[in-house]
Amino acid sequence: MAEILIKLADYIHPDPVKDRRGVHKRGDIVAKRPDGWSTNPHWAQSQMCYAKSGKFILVKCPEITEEEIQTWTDSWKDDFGYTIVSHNAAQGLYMIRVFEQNTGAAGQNNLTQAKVEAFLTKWGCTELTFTTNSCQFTFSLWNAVRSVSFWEYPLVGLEFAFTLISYNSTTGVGRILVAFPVTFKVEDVIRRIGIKGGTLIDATATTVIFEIERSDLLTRFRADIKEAAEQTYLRHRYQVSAADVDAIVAAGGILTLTKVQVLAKLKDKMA
Amino acid sequence: MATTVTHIVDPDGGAGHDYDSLSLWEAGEQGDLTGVRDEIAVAKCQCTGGTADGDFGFAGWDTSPSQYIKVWTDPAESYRHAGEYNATKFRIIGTNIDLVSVSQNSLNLKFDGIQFVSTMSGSWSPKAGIKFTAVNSCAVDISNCLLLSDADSSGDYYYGISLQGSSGSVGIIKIQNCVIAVTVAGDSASAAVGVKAFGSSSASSIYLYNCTLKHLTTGVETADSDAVYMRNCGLSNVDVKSSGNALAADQTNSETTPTWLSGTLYHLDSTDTTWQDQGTDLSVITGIIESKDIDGQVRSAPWDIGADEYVAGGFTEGVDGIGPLLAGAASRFAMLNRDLGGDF
Repeated sequence: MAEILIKLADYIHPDPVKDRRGVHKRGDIVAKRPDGWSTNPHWAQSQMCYAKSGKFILVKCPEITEEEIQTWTDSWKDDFGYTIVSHNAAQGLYMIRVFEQNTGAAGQNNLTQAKVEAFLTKWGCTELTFTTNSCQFTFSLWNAVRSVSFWEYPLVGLEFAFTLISYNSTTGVGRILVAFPVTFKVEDVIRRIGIKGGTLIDATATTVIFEIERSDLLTRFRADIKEAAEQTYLRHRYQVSAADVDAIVAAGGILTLTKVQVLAKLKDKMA
Repeated sequence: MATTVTHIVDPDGGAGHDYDSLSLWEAGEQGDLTGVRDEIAVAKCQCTGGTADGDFGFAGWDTSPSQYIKVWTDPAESYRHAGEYNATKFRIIGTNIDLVSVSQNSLNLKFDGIQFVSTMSGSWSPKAGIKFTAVNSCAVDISNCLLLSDADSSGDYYYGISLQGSSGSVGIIKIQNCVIAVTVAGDSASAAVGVKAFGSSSASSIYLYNCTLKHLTTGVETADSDAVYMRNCGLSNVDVKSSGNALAADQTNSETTPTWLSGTLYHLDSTDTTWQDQGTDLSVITGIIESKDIDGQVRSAPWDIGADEYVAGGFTEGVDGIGPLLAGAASRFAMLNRDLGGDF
């Protein structure tokens, strides 16, 4: 029981990257609305008059729920997958492969060096090797807890001093002493440790001892890469064809279809 | 001279509206404002029935300093907050989501008089009221806005405004007369940062003038070469004023909680002497947006610290919108419950 708003007016941004990642294209599904939305003061009756403004067309489909439509308005976004190729528990080293899962049928959104190298390096990852749609690298627990991304501070290598007090390769728990300049408040340092999954053991005005478990650290690492490195490839993943847009326009800009008809017209740009 | 083209955005679809959400307005109006359109694209936000708007973003626009985007509530109408959270005024609400995402550089954008309300549920994923992932060459004014969150649990990770530049970024971000706050006093969020600026060798200028920051872990957190000019800002129950780089300007800011006007969270009482008349007249300083306070009252020398300028009898808003916030978490949830459809 929903209505689907489709972009009609087209626009091409002169920057091809902005055009791809940012622009709502003709035929893109841009919004969902509840059944009956267009009969209220939103369509022909609205001041701008959606129906006559040349900006949108509309498909009514009483058989489809708003929840079903939700994903159709989404962007085509990166979705990185991870595989642990091997690990050395005693040394806290992991060889990890990261790859793009939403590549597209022609590999147009493959994972590239430019997309991830800077983010991995900021986590202290080393031995990066790139192949088509994947990057393999070494993730060191010790490097990670001293990295720019762990502390979200670019001068950490210059201003902070770290001592590994202990590391239990069975439990994966490391205990670390960090000394920091007086310009940092200890509350700030403790907060940064907590965000990355660490547990405070002891603190003074310029030192903190904390523990962190390797799986927590790997979880925060993956979450941070997802947040910082994953990007939008296309503003909208789903659209209807130019011919279907023309058909809806010819019908007066609004058309009622069955669920089967809607699904037949739906085009996944990633497929 | 650019033509101002105003569209009315009303989530309640009231008489005369053009769009029923900012998301749809952005989809309908997106384009090149600098060419044939030669336009200032304005979304004038209304709230005729109390319904909140949802998240949206900017990407793929072409703007210039004189052909820009403005999203605002008109103070001459009845849809703007009065410097305190009000659940009947225009507002943008979302849970565990960036309320506004700006993912393009070279954007000229103004927000004026908007409430941004972020609810959190311990996702460990940082979420912002306004998030910029590409500030290079952006010129952004954010004035008279409330950026609020209920971030108060482990795993809640809130930024009022998040700025992420790339190498060589030179964006200019002006934030004035804004309240950035967690609305409860538990101080248990994993992170609640007023303004977070980070990136790769970004060298943007961030002006934070006459803002009120309350119940945060950190007021301003910077990295790289971003320069933060902080003047006349009031910090109440903020653990760390600034973290990372030293502030480029640190003038007449206060970390002492003032005496609040009874029944309000962000308005000064007549008896206050910590923020009232303790600021600097910023009217001639680079980065200034205007010389009024968050609810439109003209500032008089010496200026007050924070978003509010004390004026006798100046705050006349009813207590309906702000009462629950003062009464504690249970009432606060009741208030948010109304906004979120009753299932919070």
